Amino acid sequence: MDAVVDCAGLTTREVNQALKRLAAEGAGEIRVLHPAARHCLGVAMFEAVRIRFEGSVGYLCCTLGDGADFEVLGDAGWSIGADMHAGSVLVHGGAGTNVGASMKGGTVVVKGSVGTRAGIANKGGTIVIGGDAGYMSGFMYQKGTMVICGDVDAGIGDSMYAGDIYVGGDLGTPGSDCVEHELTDADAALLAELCEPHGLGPKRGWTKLGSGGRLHNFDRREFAIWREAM
Amino acid sequence: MSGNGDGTSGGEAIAARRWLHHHAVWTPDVIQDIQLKAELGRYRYRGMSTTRPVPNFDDLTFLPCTLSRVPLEGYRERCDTETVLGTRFAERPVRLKIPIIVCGMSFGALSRNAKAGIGLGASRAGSSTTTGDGGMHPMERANSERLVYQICPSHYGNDAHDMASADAVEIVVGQGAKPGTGGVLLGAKVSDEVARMRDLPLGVDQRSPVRHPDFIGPADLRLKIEQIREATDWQVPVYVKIGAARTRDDVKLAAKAGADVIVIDGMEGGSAATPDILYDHTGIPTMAAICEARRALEDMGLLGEVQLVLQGGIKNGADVAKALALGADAVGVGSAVMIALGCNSANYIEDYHALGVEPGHCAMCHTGQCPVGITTQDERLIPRLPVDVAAERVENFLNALTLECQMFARACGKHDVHDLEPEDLRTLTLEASMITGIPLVGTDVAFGAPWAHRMHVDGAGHLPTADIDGH
Repeated sequence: MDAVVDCAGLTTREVNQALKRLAAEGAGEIRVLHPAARHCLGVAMFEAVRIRFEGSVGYLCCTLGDGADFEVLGDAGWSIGADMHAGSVLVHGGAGTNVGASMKGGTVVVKGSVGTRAGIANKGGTIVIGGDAGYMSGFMYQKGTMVICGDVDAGIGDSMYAGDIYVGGDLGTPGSDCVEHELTDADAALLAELCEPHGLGPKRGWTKLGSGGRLHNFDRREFAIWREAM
Repeated sequence: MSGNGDGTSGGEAIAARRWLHHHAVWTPDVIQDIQLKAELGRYRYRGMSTTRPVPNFDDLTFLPCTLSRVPLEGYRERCDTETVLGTRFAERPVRLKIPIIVCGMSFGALSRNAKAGIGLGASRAGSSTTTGDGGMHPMERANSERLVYQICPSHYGNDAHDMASADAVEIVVGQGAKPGTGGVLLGAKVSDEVARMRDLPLGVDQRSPVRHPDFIGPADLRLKIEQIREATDWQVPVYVKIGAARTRDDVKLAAKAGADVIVIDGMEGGSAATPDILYDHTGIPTMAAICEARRALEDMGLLGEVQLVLQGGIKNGADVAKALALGADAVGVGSAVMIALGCNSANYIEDYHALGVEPGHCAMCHTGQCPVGITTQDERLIPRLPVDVAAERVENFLNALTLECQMFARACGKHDVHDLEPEDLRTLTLEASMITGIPLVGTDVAFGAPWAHRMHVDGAGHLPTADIDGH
């Protein structure tokens, strides 16, 4: 590792300023000690740098990034990787709700299980979850790829506009206008590419989900689905 | 016999008559509304704002100086208008030459020419403008000296680089036209460029979420604000925009969460597309909202430290001056700016007729077929509003608002428009007195709620209150 930042005794602002300064100075890799589940660490990092949090992180960490690669050796709080443009986040434990919310690009991998609304409003990112995902994951999903190796709770893919969601376990009750699509060889290759490097795979077998397109434009003949939209 | 008057008998003489029953409930508008819904099978959309008369700033009048106080020369004496927003935590507060900003209106709802023209006109007038639900268009950034970057619940077009280039960041919790409900952009306006910026399929009816994807509730808002401060290195102010509803509570929560500026959008707030039924039946009027917001900051001892921006139906310099007198640090104008650009002007009348409306009565922003090229993405219509023309009209209108506001301040003897105060006002209606706590004209009695005495009693207690609690 090129550089070390010890969070102990530093404010969050000081930690983030240190990360940006070290990255600007050309540090290839930065170890962050004692993150102590602190919130808002590693926000808006635009440099190509590898940052490893040696512990758990709190809410809204590794968000708004464009090019940095993060690794979290513990768990992550809400909204890990949200609004990311490019780069990656690898969480070795589990994560809270809103994993990868509204990502534009990049990749978030959580090896464990996650809370509700994983991949909400995804706008082009790639999300891989090794365990289960909670209620309403993929809500208002717009673009991109999400892979959930385990089970999902009710409402997966509710009101999604476009994009692909793959589930390796129980589907629960899919959300409004979330429909099954046929798995192709290209899908299988993509799933292997995303999962195998992390030792992940489907709990039972893959199902591919997408938008049925019936909520794209109002049609009174489809009134029932609009009334029941979650 | 000519019949009994209700059409139940009377023969030919009855048939020759045209009875015009003036229904109290089933007015022509209500009949049309029901019949349209019977065709559509859904709620109706439209642009503009509520059609419902609500208590508003016209229910207030200024008490200018006469013998008891000395006025300033109304047309020439110095009266400052400089306004600073975001003094609480930000390294670089937003410094405006006037107490007026332009509210958030999205590229998508408005054409790129409209956004660029507003930015340029607002810059020349010393004001700021605001992005909207759809991201920052490059033409808007290039033409806006001071640009507030909105983070809306949809996060459409959310871009950390754009945020870093902004002069302030505004977290949108809701809007006055429809607090509690997300935005709408119908498919006709989701053009290639709009779809690309928002990452949506071309032509989709976009119905935005109302909750942010990455935080929920006031406790999380504190963290969201911290995240934005970290992303912008604490340089620029963080605004929180709230649709006026439980305003006293909401302002306290936003202030506690760390907002520099709280933007209150009242019930008269505009929109380019909102379910018709929500305009008229959600939220509280702008005048009521500023009273609640001021009380909230007074309760917390933060009046002046957290700035208030009031918007929602602000239409002239009197509204601006009254808003400042009631506690706003600045006002926001949106619909009025659109009208300044030429919205509802009597040009291209055949295109209004094609929409089934007359100029002066159009609210068809949601269709994307704006006859004057403002609320459209149609390449045939956009050139009808050239950027330079738009800029000049916006600058002129903002200047006129400022001059009008200064006239009221000078007439009340103030060297700074921000020195206007509730004592400069009286109410014309009992309900306005109840809402504002300001005495009704001719009574010297403030009929307001228990907080009224704090706003209006002078040191000697010369303005007795008639509190609703009997205090």
